[in-house]
Amino acid sequence: MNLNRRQFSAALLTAAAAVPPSTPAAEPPLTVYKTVDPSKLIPIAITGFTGEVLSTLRFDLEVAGCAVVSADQAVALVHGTNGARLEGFVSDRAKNYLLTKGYAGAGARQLAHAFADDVVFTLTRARGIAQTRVAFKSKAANNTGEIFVADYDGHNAVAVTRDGAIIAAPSWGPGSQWLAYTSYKLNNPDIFSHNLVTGERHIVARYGGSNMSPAVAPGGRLVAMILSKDGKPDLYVADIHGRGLQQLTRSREGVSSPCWSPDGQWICYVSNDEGPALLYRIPANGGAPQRLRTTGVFNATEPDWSPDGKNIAFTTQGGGFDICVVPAGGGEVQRLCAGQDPTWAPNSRTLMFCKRGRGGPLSLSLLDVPTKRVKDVPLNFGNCSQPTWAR
Amino acid sequence: MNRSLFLKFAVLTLLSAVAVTGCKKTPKNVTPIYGARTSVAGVGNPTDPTLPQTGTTTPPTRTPPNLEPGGGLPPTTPIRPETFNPPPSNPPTTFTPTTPEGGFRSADLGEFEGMLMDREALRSSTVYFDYDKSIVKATEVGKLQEAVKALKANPKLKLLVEGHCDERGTEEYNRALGERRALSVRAQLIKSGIAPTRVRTLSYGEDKPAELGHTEAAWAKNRRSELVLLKPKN
Repeated sequence: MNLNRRQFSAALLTAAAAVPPSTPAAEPPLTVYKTVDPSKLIPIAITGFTGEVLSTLRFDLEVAGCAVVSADQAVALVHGTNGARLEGFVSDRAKNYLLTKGYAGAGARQLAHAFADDVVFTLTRARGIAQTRVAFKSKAANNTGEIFVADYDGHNAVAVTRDGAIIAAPSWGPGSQWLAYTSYKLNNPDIFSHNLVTGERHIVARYGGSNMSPAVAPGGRLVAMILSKDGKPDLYVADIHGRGLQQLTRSREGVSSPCWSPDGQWICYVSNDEGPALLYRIPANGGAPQRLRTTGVFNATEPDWSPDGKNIAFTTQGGGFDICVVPAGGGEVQRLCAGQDPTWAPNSRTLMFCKRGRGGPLSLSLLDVPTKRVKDVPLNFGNCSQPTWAR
Repeated sequence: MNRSLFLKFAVLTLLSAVAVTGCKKTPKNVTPIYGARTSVAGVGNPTDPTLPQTGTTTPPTRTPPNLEPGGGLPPTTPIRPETFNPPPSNPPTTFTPTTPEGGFRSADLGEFEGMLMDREALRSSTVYFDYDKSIVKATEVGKLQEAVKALKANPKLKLLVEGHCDERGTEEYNRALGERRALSVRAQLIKSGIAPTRVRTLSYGEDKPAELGHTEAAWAKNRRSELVLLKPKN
């Protein structure tokens, strides 16, 4: 009955040799991303995780276009353990490992977000957004407000202003280091730039009339804004210190809400010169405005240009507000869901927007454009609006 | 005999155990999340904003670079009466729009600094607007006469015209619409002979409703322009 050592080791070696080898994550044998219909949710199962890691992971993957189902219905299994460190795996139904990774050195949510991004890349070959941040405004009952910065899922929200004044339209500088916004702190709508690292603020525009709707250019060196100093709300561009002001539009009725193309060559904005609010674009260096066709809707406001340059998201109004998307050159509009004021995530696929319940508070939600799935951002304070996604 | 049987049994058990559980690998490459931001540094103390070096609020004496001193206002000429009525002691003046689209340039905010606000004096002059419009209707224009009279009677007075919207547009669209309404009222005042430099505009968008509520009646009360008389401190 007693095995001698030699025989026992031989037994173990035989057993070890019989173990099937695991494939590394570089080239997964099952190409989930190739077989998946982009308008359908990807069915996955999640096991082994607990607590905050599980809830964070689940939220991230659902936002990214996955449906959490039981293992027998899943096309991929997301599993692992969380303790002092997170050990995460993705495997297919044939038990091939598509992802094998460990995470340490941060809090539970951060580890889960990092793993979620890797899962999303494994399943879709696209960049995840679980580690991104947003800014938005939160209004008090008297409509004064403050600007907040938070993780994209609403957690770790921090107020970056405390002026007790009306505030609006935050816009990120690249690299998430600074924001521009409109503040009434000095008893006039003025445009401030705000360095989030040092707390320093500067006035970008404080002309007579109203100074509104700043939009920081993708390169971070210019700001577009709506100034009424010359008699109508018109589109202007200056550097981030407010110098070198250049007027781009000379409208009859007035313009509003500018946004930049990701290559910095164009500014898209809203003009009422033809009656209803419609989208136009103008070369950022000046030139003739071009109307962007928005076939299927009567009006369009608050545009945002996707980071991949292909689409413009905006709000249309007729009864309620609807989030819409149109190709960046104009064309047929796709209505997506009820809501207003969309902002694109860096993946050019997810939108954050504001929902206004009739008589109820303003809240933020996430929309996955291909699947049209909406998930609310869990924020525990009311009246959050005007989200803007850091890129 | 026993030993080899046991050996086979051990191997079989080991193999089946591995087959059932799979091979649990310890990850080779641990991803440390260095520098994970748990807070925004420097957030605690946003400073009071500083003016840019070149100063967007210019002192009153500075001439805007692209205007003749005097802001392009034509010299005033007394009206030659067709009848034998004596010419009015305050000859009406007309102001030329400073933009090709019929707008009038604003004075700098510094021109209004230190003045006291009187919201009550022209309370009844509040102008109301149709939905998504900034035109001053014919039925509303008459309300502005009181403001015109007050400003003409005392040349030291100035005016702040606020623009407001109901909640039904998107926020930044409404901010611009409120400004268009204020500018519209200002244009009417200028037409009545008030100098453009005496009137400033300010939009609150939908942020300062006169009446809370989500009914057409409440909305109609919020689509407005309020006139605030500005008096010098002494």
